[in-house]
Amino acid sequence: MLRPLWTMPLSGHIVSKLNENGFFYWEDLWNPDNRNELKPSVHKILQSCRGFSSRDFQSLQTAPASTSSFEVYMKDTDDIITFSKAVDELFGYGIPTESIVELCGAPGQGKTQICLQLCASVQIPKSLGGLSSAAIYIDTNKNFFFERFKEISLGTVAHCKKVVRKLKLGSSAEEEMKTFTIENMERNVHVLYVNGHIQLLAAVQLLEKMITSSKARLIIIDGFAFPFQEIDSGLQRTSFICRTLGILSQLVSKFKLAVVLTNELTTHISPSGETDFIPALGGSFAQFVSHRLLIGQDSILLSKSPNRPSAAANLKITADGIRDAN
Amino acid sequence: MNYHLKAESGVQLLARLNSHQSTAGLEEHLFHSGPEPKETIEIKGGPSTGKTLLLTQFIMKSILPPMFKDIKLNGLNVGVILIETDSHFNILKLVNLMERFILKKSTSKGITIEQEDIENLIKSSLNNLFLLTCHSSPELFVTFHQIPSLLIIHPSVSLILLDSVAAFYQQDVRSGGIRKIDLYCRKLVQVLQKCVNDYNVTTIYTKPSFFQSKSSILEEFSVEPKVGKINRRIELKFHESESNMFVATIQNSNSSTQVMYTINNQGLKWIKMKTSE
Amino acid sequence: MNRLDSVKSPLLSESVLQNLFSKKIFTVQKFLEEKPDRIASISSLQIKDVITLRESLITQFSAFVKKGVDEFLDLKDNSVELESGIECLDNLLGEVLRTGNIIEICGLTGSGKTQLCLTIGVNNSLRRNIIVHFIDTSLGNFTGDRIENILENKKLTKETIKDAMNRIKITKVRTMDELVSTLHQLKTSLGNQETCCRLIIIDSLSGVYLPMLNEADNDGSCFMNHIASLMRFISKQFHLLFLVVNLATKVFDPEACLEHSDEAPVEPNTPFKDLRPLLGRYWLHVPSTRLLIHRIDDRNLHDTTRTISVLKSSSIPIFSSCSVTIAKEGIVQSETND
Repeated sequence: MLRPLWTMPLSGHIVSKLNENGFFYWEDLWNPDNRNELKPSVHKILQSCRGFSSRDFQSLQTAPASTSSFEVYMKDTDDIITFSKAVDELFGYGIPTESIVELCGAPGQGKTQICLQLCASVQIPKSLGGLSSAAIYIDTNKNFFFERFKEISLGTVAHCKKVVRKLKLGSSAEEEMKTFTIENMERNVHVLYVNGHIQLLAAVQLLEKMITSSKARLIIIDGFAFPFQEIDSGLQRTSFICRTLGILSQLVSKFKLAVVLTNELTTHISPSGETDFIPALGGSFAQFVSHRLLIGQDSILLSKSPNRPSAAANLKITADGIRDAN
Repeated sequence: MNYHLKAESGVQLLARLNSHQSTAGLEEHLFHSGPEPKETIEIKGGPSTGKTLLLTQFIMKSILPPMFKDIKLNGLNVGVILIETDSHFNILKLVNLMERFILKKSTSKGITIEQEDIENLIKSSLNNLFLLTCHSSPELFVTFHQIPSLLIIHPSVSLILLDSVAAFYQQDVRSGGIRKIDLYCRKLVQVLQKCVNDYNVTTIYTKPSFFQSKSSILEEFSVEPKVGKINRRIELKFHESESNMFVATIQNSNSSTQVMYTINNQGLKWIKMKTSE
Repeated sequence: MNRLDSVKSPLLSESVLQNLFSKKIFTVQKFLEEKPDRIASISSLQIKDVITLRESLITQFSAFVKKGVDEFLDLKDNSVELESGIECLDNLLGEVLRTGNIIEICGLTGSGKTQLCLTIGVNNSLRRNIIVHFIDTSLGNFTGDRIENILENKKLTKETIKDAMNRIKITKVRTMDELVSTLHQLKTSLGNQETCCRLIIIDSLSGVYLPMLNEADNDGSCFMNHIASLMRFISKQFHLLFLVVNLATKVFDPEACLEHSDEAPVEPNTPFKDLRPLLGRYWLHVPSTRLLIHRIDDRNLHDTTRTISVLKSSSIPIFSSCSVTIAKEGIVQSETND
């Protein structure tokens, strides 16, 4: 079976140029006597095309590598702690990186509070078991309050200092703690305000650059559903949502990120008249999400996860941030 | 130069004289006495309505002999070429149907036959079936051109089946092929018809129900077999109100008949006939 | 090969090719479409050579003719009946999980599609000593954790667990063209492997299809078409089973794939008439069997019981079903099953 050229990650004009000259399959581009060499006529056509580089042309057909599940299992992943042991245990050891987590709940239940806590937690120094990295916060509905973040940062720093002292973690930890300050923490949260779905898509397309320069491991999109409400056509909305998430999921595996999205609950009326509250954005959105958390008053339910059973935990929101209920 | 062209048609003439036997009696519930030689028949239906199963039944009827050890099997004893593109046809299903059928016929006659005899009968019948599996449009096209020479080598073949016409449509459109579905379908069938036109064989192809142009004009059925035309359509549908019940509508140039059927492990089971118009 | 200059034939000399190309006759298909005398006059070949060439192209590039009896014996000897390892499901499905087929598992989000795939993958790796390829398009669905967890709860030795896990190969795929590349690569590499692979799981197809969804072009459906052809080829050639995951959405969900809207329900009396599998109308015809995994109680999120129903099949009555539970050791038969 031959591979049609349109299935290759090639730009449209290159494919149509090749089609015009009677080339429709990838295998036809190569010299039948030496499969590593392009036919001279193909080479000539390609050189006249913009954006062609002969260097990695052959690698366009390369498939992603496969590994055994044992290797995948042995590989450690990093987690971001929530400061509530019960919530961390829902996932094992905290919010896992290399995943997209959806936080879903009615307004005022503390979605943003959890996001802010994570922005602080992701910065905890390595010697204390943290990730020592930064966060990018995409805000669609003006939810990010620096004042509140400062409070949570204070709580986080105070807690970390206590841990260093109590566990006698030694000089390297103390050294790291010197730069773990409120000022630095504020600097390491990069907030982007976006307005509408076009700006959101643009922001997501710019993320790669920002991640490289800021070393961020956590991306938060607070109010993910909000920008899409302005699109009337259902198909177009799905298309935009899936495109945005498609880019995010590529970034997640490339940079080993945790992406946290907050989502609203909407009233859902079935044809038979039953009402229900369900997460907004529908099923096609949900399939990009690896974990879904439903947030209620002082409690949280892990309702979808590929590796953990569905379970609930209690938590409380204090001035210092998220903590266990008792 | 002329010499070679004449030699070609000489072979064709021979093949014609070698006449491929008629497929009359293939399925009386659907065709009465037909199908006539050289007819083209379309089978159309949604998922799970039994398109491939119906073809499988046609194959069984065609390749079985009329009689086996005093048991009347009513087979046609003709060869079948099946061109597969959708990979839904399953030979184990065919063998299973044949086994059940032979057992049923023999028990109703009160004759017991050895398992070994059944197996040998099935195997020898399967010698009459020729499978061509295509995985791409160019391959399908070249395969059509292969059929004339197959028909010359195997004069017993009377039935050409294609399952289905829709297997490569979206890929073909993407490579610059015909976009209008009805036209695409007609052109594809036409290439096949041209290849078998010189021979006395019946052509049947399947088509999924969604596979039609949005502004589809009802096609006229041709009375005479003709390249570019079809002579009959069998449309398979779920029954509107009764579950596990299906309806087949058979149309040709002058009539439209409906037959109800169910599907069980013995295949499509015809229930009753009602004629409209 | 499709193009004439990839064909090795002494009759197709450089000058003959140039003549044909100048009249836009590039491919084998185009060559066969033209009348032999026209080809002769364009290419300056003798007509007898054109006829010889035609015949050699037809025999070289036509599908292989296989007698029914050979196909039967081949399948009898080489095809394998896999099992899910879930008792009630295996009873329900009978011979459905035979190699050479494409089976779809569809369901709403969070219904346990991945859990079902993992269970079937692990059970087959354990029982049959076969390689299982797991192509993961969504993030972290295939976590080693859960596999280890399933195996550990089966009370096996560390060595057995490690071996079973080593036989499960995982490929993470992010985009449609990566998926196509992966399948094309499997097409060549499966023939060279020592241990044979009998099961390829794609979790999920909808994950790479949905980002392509767009009103303007039909990119999504032509890719599905190509992938279907590839899977059919691979499943027949190497006698293996494809298990593919597809998302289902509720019809009245505003996000439900709108391409179904002009079509009547698949079956008027269906008990699941408010559910639609995605991937378009074309795809509906592709799998030989479609299974739906479904929560019995939509509201109770703690409920671990599910029903698995048959939505499409040529051998078992549609809508027959069984009840299963998501447990620590993967998906198992529900205790309440009678």
